[in-house]
Amino acid sequence: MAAVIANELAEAAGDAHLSALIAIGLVLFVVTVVINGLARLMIYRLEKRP
Amino acid sequence: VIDAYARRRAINLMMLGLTAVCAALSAGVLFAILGYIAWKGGSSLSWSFLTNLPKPVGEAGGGIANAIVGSAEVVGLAGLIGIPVGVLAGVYLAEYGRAGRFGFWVRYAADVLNGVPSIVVGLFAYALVVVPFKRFSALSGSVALSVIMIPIVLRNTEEFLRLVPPTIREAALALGVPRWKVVLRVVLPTAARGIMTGALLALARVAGETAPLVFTAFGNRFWDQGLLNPIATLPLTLYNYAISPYEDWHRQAWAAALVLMLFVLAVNLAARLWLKPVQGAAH
Repeated sequence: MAAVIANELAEAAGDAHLSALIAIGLVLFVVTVVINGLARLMIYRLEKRP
Repeated sequence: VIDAYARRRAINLMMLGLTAVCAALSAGVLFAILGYIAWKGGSSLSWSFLTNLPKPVGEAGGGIANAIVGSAEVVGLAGLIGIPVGVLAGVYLAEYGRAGRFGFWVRYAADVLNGVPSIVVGLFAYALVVVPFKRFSALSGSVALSVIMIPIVLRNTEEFLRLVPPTIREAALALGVPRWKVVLRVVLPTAARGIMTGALLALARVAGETAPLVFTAFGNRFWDQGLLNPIATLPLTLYNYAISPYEDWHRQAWAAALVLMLFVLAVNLAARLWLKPVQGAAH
């Protein structure tokens, strides 16, 4: 996904292409947020256990 | 019984050997990369390579001077934006927001930001700076790099401030020193070396970033044209040369890689040597 953005953004043709690439960026971002959230939840649960 | 004991010894030895091999492998990768780049790029590295502008394809003797200067500018400006924000936010988290809900969310945000692919940060800078100005620019590259720096500097600053013993703070407070003065004159100087080392390492890290610069700083084959114009940087030049169809540019890409690698290595070494006394004091 990162490679698609890198290869196409500098020469994106038209608004739809640009929006699609930024949407890919959004997906990558959401994945990071969710995985970080899950990791925090795991740590939180481990800490609660004595 | 003897058999089971021998088996356990054998497994123990095998696993111990495996961990040692993997440890050697991890360190070996660095030397393999360094060695390979030095072998491929060393012969093209010369004084004129470092001080000349790129020449048109086919002409011999082009250099990467503009990329070195451009990298220094873009990374320097990124540091001017990113380091103060990161350090001040770290001060807030360590001194005022240790347990609060706000602190929790800021920490979470910083960790997410740290894990966001750098290309997404590039997209952010593209939307924030490139689109409104309608042009690729050095400024947008610096914004992208500063966004990558902020969470690194922030978390590092917080960690080092937490290492400052509470007794020092209490001693100062007991003498009637106001809280802000305790932070500014007692806590920060104690942790200063660690904070600066972290800032230096963050600079070295973003100096090697390519992805966020591809559609922000964009690259340029000439000297710096001002902050609002495309600018050459070392990783970008390296990237463009490496994917080009010209043999001569490949050769220069290897040499540029060597320059970049040596720079990052030098900063890392300097930071580590600088940090050493502090670690000794903390342990």
